[in-house]
Amino acid sequence: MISLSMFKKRFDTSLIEPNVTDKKVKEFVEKCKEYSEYIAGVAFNPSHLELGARLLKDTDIDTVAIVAYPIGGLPTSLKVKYAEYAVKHGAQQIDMFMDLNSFKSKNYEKVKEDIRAVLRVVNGKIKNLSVIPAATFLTDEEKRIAARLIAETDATIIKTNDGFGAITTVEDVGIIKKEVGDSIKIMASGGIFTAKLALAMFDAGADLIATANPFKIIDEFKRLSKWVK
Amino acid sequence: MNISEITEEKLVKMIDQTNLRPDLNEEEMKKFVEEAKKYNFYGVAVMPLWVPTVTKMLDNSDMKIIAAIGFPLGAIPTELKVAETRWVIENGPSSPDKLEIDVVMNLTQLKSENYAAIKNEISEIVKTAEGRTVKVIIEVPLLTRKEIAIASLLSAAAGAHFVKTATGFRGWGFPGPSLWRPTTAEDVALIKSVVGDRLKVKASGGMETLSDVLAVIEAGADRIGTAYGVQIINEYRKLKEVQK
Repeated sequence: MISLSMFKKRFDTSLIEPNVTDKKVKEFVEKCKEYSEYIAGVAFNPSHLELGARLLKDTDIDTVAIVAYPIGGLPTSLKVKYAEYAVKHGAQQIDMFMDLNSFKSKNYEKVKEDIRAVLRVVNGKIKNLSVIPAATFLTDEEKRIAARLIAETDATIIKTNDGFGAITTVEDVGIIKKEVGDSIKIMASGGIFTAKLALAMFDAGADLIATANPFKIIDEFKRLSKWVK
Repeated sequence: MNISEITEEKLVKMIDQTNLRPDLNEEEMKKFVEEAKKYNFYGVAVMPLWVPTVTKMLDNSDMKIIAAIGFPLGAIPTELKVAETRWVIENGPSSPDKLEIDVVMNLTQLKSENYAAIKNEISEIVKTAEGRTVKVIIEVPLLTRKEIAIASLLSAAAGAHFVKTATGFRGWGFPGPSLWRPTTAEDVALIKSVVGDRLKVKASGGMETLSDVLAVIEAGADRIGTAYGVQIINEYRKLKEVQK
């Protein structure tokens, strides 16, 4: 049964593009405020973080900072610097790219240490640390291992992918959910453009959905829920 | 350069052999660098994380290590780009002329016409690089001709050594229509017409074949950034074979 209340605060969105103006950031935040009942967090370009946090102040929408986004490739000490910057400039959540390179070298301790190093500097200062294993690049067995590694740290969310063409499938979410149960939240991200797919993601165990255009999905939900009544 | 003057030695020394894949493991990166060494390219371009590994591998070679900074988003605060630059300097080759810095311009500021901030940021990077070559990536697929000219002028005014055309990252525009396009000879000629001989030009993004490369060299490119260096040189060799 579809009820709109199911979707409250279950969407993250973002305006992470290399060429957006301050004006566009402001317009985007205005739009997010209109949908604030449904939107949990908004992620910005690192150089727009300060502006984003200021615009979201006094709302119940979290400011989300990104670290090593969208392709990783940064050593732990630089990820820590990004995280410190994020905390200092008003982030309530950080979405960080997992150390995929160490992961692919099967150096799992290093993957966890990378996450823990960030956790140490953000601990108690933000609400959520979400870690992106980039499921698009992983086999099913690797998805299970990555999910377990992330759940073994104090990170609070596994975010499947970071967008930019990555696709998360309903099966991906199911695999991760089966592995981690309720020990950590799951955010499905990448290629989720319709209410139907969003519903399937929730059904498979996603707690949150990240999409560049949650507005369309929420509007679709609103229409659907009226119809169901 | 007149392309009739090109030899294999000249061509390999114009190529920054690039690998920015997010999912490489240690073994794959080493294989990539070994192969690049066989061809003796100008340098190897990687993300900061790989700089220590590549530095070690190129210890006895004259090839350069090229670090991608603020990559590929560019919309990163100056202090973090400076921190990245500092990190690759501290963890890279001890000889300054063996490391080059390829930094992505903050296009959000370019689009907001906040030119002072851009110039200041590039100056900071140049200062931090302490004489090392700094290339500014302006991401031509996202710019108008006028913006390409302005970005080039700002790079020159801030003391950078190269204008680099693009990151090659194809995700821009997603989920909308892709904004990606390859760098063209026209892009290179436009940049060259603005910066003249003051700055060099690195053509990158979509440099996949010998003809892509020759077209931009003819238009004035001094350096090529590509993941296809090996294929391009092999193509060149085959062509020479046929011409014999």
